[in-house]
Amino acid sequence: MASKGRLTYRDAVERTAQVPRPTSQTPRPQKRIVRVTHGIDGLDLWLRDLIRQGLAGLEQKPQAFWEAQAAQLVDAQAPALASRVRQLGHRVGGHPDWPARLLRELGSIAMLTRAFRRIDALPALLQSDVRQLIGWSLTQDEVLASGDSVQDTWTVVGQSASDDGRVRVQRTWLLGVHTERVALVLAFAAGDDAFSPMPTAGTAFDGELVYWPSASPQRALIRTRAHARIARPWPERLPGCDRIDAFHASFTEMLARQPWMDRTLASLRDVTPVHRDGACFVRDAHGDTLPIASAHAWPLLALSGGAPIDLGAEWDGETLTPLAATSAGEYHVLSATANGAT
Amino acid sequence: MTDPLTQWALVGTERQDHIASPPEPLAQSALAKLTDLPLEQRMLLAAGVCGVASTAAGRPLPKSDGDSSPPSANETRPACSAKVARRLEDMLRGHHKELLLEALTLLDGAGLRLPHVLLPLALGVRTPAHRRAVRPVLGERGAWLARINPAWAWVTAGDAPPRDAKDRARENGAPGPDALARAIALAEGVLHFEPPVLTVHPPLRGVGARSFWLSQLLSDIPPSHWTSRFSAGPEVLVRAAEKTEWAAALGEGWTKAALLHQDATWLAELWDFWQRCDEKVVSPAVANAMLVQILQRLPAAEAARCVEPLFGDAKTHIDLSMALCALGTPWPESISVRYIEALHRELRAMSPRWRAILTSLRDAATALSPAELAPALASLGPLATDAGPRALVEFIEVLRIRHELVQEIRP
Repeated sequence: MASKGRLTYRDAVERTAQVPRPTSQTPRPQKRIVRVTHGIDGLDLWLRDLIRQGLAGLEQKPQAFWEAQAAQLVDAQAPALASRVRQLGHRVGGHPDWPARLLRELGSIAMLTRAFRRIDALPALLQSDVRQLIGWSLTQDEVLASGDSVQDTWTVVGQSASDDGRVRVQRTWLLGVHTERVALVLAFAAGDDAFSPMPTAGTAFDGELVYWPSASPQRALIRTRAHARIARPWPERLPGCDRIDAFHASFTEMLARQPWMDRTLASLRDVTPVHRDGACFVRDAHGDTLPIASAHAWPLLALSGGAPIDLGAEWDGETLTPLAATSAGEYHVLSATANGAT
Repeated sequence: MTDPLTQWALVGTERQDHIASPPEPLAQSALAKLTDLPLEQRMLLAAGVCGVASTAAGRPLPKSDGDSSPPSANETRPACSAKVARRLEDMLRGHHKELLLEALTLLDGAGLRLPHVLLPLALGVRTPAHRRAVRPVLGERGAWLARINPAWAWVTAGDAPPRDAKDRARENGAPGPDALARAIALAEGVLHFEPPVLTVHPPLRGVGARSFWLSQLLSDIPPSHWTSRFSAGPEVLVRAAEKTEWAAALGEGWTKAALLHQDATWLAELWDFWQRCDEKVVSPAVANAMLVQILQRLPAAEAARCVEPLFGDAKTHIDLSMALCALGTPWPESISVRYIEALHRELRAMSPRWRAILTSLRDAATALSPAELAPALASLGPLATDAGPRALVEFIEVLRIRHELVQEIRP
C-alpha cells in the first residue's frame, strides 16, 4: 500500500514494464545496457520498499524472498549484482549487529546503482569497476589488451576461499618483492569441481602480471611465469608495513579510489599476536592494533609464542584472516585452503 | 547500541517519517544532500557512505601498551621433521587417526616435539589416552598456549591424586570387606550343597539356580582364598572342578574373580580350562567370551603364548580375529611373524580361515610389531593390488605409513 503518494514496488514494476524493451534490431551491447537498466530500476524500487517497510520484518522472510530479486537481476544480465543480492539473505539474523551490517550493504548496493546511472560522469577506470561489479566480465584477451602490466618477483603469500552455495571462489594473494604491488588471482569452481592449478602458497616466481582495469587495481592474471621456482619456501622477509596505521592509510586511499573494495592483503611486519579477554589481535611496536578473526587466531598465537612476527593476512575492513607468517626466519602457510598444485 | 540511522531503517519510513535522534555527522550531511531523491534512497546512500567511512576507519581497538602474559620460553626439544608434521596433521584431522597414539609415543621416545603450527590441533584432542600422549610433546609453546586458553587447562591441571587400593577395587566393581565375608560364607555353603540362602529366581534362562548363584558368589571372592582354603594350586582346583557337574559355574565364577582381582596365575590356568572344555558342558559363545576376557588381562608374554597355537590347526573355542584384537598393541614379534606367515598361507589357499584373517587385517595393521613392518611390506606389498581384496590394500597402506613414521621419527 502506497503512503503519502509514494510508489510501491508493485506499482513501480508495472511502470518499469512500460519502458521500451530491447528488440531484435537493437545492437547487442546497447541491448544489454537497456536490460541492465531495467534490472537496476527494479532493484532500486525493491531497495526503497525494504526501507519503507522497515528492516525489522526481514527476519521472517525466507531465502526465496532474496532469491526472487536475485533471479530478476540474472534475467537482466547483471549477475554480479544478483550474487550480492542473494547474499543479503544470509546477513539477516545470526549476528547481534545484523541490522547495521545489512543496512551498510544495502547502502553499498544503492551507491552502485547510483554510480551506474551516472557512469558517464565517472573517471574511466572507476567506470570499469562499476561495470564489473554489476556483471560485465572481461575476457582474458580484453584484460591483456587493456590492463596494467607489471613484471616482478611475486611471492605467493597465501590462499583463501569462499562459497556462495553455487560457485566456489579461491583467492590467491601475491605480493611483488620489488614493486610491493598486491595482486589477487581468482579461480572459480562449481560443485565439487577442482580449482584450476594455482601457484603454491609459500613459493615465489619471476613473472608478469596484468591487472584488470580498475581505479584501485588488485585483481590480476598471470601472463608469464618463469618455470624455475625461486625458492620454497620464500626465504626472505616480505615487503610490508611496519606500522598498522600506515597499512590503514593505504587501505583508506584504496577505498577512496574504489569504495566497493571489500578486502585486500595486509602485509604487516613485526606485529605481535595477543590474546586478551577472549579477543585476539595483532599489535605493532607503537601499540596500534587490528583484530584477528577468532577462528584463525590460535595457529597464529602458536606460531608467535608472544614474539613479533611478519604476517600476511586478508583484511576485510573488520578483521584479519591470517594467510601466512614468518616466525624465526621461517615462512609458514596458515591458510587452510592452500593447495599443492604445480 | 544501534545507531539512529539503523534504528530508523528498522522501523521503516512508512511508520516513522523522521529520524528520532540526530545521526552521525556524515549521515546527516548525506541525508541533507541529494534532496531531489526519494527519502529512502537518501537513507540508503547515507548508509552506504557511512559504511565506506567505517570500513576505511576500521574498528580500531584501544592502543595496547603491552601484554601481561610473558612470551613463551625457549624450546628444549627439537621439532619433528616437516614430513612427519604433515602425517601428524592428517592424523589430527582424522585421517588414519588410529595411528596417532603410536606416532605421538614415537615422537616422545625420540625426544622430539610437535611443530608450533600443529599445537592448536593437538591441544584439541579429547580422549584421556590421546591427551596423555600429547602432553609430553607439546613443548614450551604448548604449555604457554594452555596457560592463555582456558579450554586447554587440562595440560597444566596435572593428573588426579593417586587413589588407594580400596578406591581402585571399588572402581573395578570389587566388594568391600563385609560384603566379601558374606559372599565367602554363602559360596562355601553352596559348594557344600547346603540349601541356598537366597531364593531369588536367576535371571538367565538355561542356567540352574544353583549354578547361577554359585557363579555370582564366586566371582566376588579373590581366587587366592581357594588356594589357601584347599591348600592346592589353581591347576589342581581347576582340574578337580572339571570333573564335577558344576564345572561351567565354577569356571565362570573363578574366571570373573580372577579378572576382577587380576590374578595372572589363575587366569593362565583358566585359559587352558576353557580351551579344553566340552561343548556339551559349556556353550561355545560363553567359552569364547571368557577366553577373550582372559587374554585381555594376561601379561603380554603369557597372552602371546596362548595365541600362538591358534595359527595352527589346534582345536580352539576362541575366534582368531577376536583373540588378536584382545592382544595389546603392538603385538609381540612372535605373533607378528606368525600372523604374516598365516596371511601368506591363507592368501594362497583362500581357505575358510581366510575370512577370519581378512577381518583381522584392520587391527593387525596398527598392531603389527614395528620390527616386522619392513619384512611384511617387502613380502606382502607386491600382493596388494587393485585386483586383490581392498582390505589388503588398506592394510599395506597403513603399514607403509607406520614404517615411514618409524624411519622418520628419530632423535
